[in-house]
Amino acid sequence: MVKYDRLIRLVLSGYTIFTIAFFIYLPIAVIYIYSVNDTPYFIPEWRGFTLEWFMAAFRRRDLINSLYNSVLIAIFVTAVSMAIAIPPSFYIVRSRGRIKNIFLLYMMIPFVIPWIIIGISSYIFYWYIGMPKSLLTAALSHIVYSIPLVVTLLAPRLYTMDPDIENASMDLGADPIQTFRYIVFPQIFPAMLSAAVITFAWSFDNFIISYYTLGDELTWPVWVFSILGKVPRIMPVINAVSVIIITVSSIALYIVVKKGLVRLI
Amino acid sequence: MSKDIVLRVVDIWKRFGQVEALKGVSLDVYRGELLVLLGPSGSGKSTLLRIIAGLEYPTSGKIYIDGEDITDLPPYKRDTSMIFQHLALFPHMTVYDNVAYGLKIRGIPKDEIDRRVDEVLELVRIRHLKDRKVTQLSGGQQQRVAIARSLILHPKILLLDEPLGALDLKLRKELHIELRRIHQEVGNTWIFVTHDQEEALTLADRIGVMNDGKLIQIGDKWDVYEQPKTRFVAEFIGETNIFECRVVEVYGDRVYAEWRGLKLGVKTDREVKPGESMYLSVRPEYIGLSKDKPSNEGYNIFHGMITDEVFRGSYVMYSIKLDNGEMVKVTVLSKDAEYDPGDEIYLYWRVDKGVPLKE
Ligand SMILES: Nc1ncnc2c1ncn2[C@@H]1O[C@H](COP(=O)(O)OP(=O)(O)OP(=O)(O)O)[C@@H](O)[C@H]1O
Ligand SMILES: [Mg+2]
Repeated sequence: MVKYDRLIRLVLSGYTIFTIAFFIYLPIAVIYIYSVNDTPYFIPEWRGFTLEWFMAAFRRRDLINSLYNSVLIAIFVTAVSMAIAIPPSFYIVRSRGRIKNIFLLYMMIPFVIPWIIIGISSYIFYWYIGMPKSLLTAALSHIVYSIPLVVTLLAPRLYTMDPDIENASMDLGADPIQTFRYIVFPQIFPAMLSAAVITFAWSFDNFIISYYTLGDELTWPVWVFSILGKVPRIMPVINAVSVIIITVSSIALYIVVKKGLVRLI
Repeated sequence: MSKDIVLRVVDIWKRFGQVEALKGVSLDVYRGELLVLLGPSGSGKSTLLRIIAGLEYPTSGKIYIDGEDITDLPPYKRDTSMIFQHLALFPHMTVYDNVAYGLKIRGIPKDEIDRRVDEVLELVRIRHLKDRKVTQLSGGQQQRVAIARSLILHPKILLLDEPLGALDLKLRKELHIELRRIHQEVGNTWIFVTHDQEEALTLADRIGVMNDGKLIQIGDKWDVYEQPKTRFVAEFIGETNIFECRVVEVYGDRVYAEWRGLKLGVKTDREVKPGESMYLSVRPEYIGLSKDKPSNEGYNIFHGMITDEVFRGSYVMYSIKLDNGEMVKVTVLSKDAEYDPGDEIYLYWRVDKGVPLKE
């Protein structure tokens, strides 16, 4: 029995490593290679090292602008949805029985609505109320989805917090604001940080909702979509930017995990 | 102990949705005493404590501390401090930071905080653990941190909600002694909640017995033990025999009652009339055993047979079947326990050791 156990474990871990390596890291490796390969085409051939694609990326104002817009929206969406979602997260987690389930259900519904529906219905909504589409409208539609996301990410942590810990703080003389600052915040900070990282990444990445709700200013994914096939020799430029994005976010993730600010499990 | 009232609880009701958790509890607590509130799970003990601490608002009723109405004060403005059922230590802090918390919030200077933390950790004997994370402490040590964290503020009233519930029996017994020592050294008023009658009898000056949202009886622990007012109190504190009988003759405070074909004598201050039904509580340790028929005056004497014995360490509990078929429990100190199951036996108790109960 024990022997089979070990065999199964070996097969499973081998399978996991293989899947991750093959489906995720191999394509990423390809992107890294082509970002410095001196050819605009995906040809299976090494044509020499170049930084041309990186230089080209920095020269394109529209590209830099779309990255800037994406970061701006992601920061705004993260900050606003965190601020909005924290109080109801507490309320839901601390409420009893049926009320809790009803709230959770309503919070979960946006997850099962396809993004394209959120996008299209937002599009119709903004048209209906006569609000011109812009970065703001895109950000608002992202927030619609981010709030339940934040609640879902925070709720498990809040749930494990004994409300009597806050009661103890107040019993010892701290008012509710001091209690939040010294007792609640330090305890939920790691969960807040991981919720923020995930929300930021999600918003930065989103294409479908942004596509329907943006005006003339584009975010990075929408810009990529709009330019592909229309401008020659753009693919390696996009590669180069992808390399920068992947590198920066991997380093950021490494730092927060390493510092123990975010626990993965 | 002077009879100076520090806390007055007046007709507190508390409803949670459909549940009536407290049904008109009134209570006076004397300065410096250790009052134990004893009751089964769900009887409303925690709710009452939380209302006194200000963590729960009563549906109606008033709370006074030193004559001042504090019913509407939030917990952080009350001169009470609570030790919670699950302690509720701050898990992200060290022992020092937990204990210093209340003083820091009050803006006390650092050197005074340090001095007082040392002092109180000395009192609860965990000064050497000052820099540990509280999550790295044993249950008994965490217990002491919780006590220190409250005591450092010199609260007028310390509220303890089954703080020893999670500990093993041996550690609990150790802490009982510690708690009494600390209470005596500090000298403030403690209200200790528990569902464990032994804990109540060990710790208390006075005991209040709660059941179903009501305070059934409160008094000196000996009085509550020896003169329970209701069947619930008699059965909840200590072991007892309950005899359901009917009053047949009344001569002043001396009453004769019929109990399943036997006649027994009862002493009572209460007005009773012949024909009335009555519960009589007789503690197993007040019943004596003898092989020969005793001839003492003023005793109830019955004949029966021992059916079972249970050894409980310092004493033995016998089950005895009387001639009328009823079972009676009797405890005898182990050193005097010279009987065996099957023995024919006489049992007897002094008439005034039978306590007639209201219901
Ligand atoms: N926040 C609440 N919401 C609803 N019902 C509650 C709440 N707190 C207590 N109750 C109910 O009130 C009653 C009394 O509860 P309480 O916690 O005071 O009992 P207790 O005597 O402390 O019991 P235990 O020994 O189990 O701690 C129970 O029926 C309980 O279910
Ligand atoms: Mg309780």
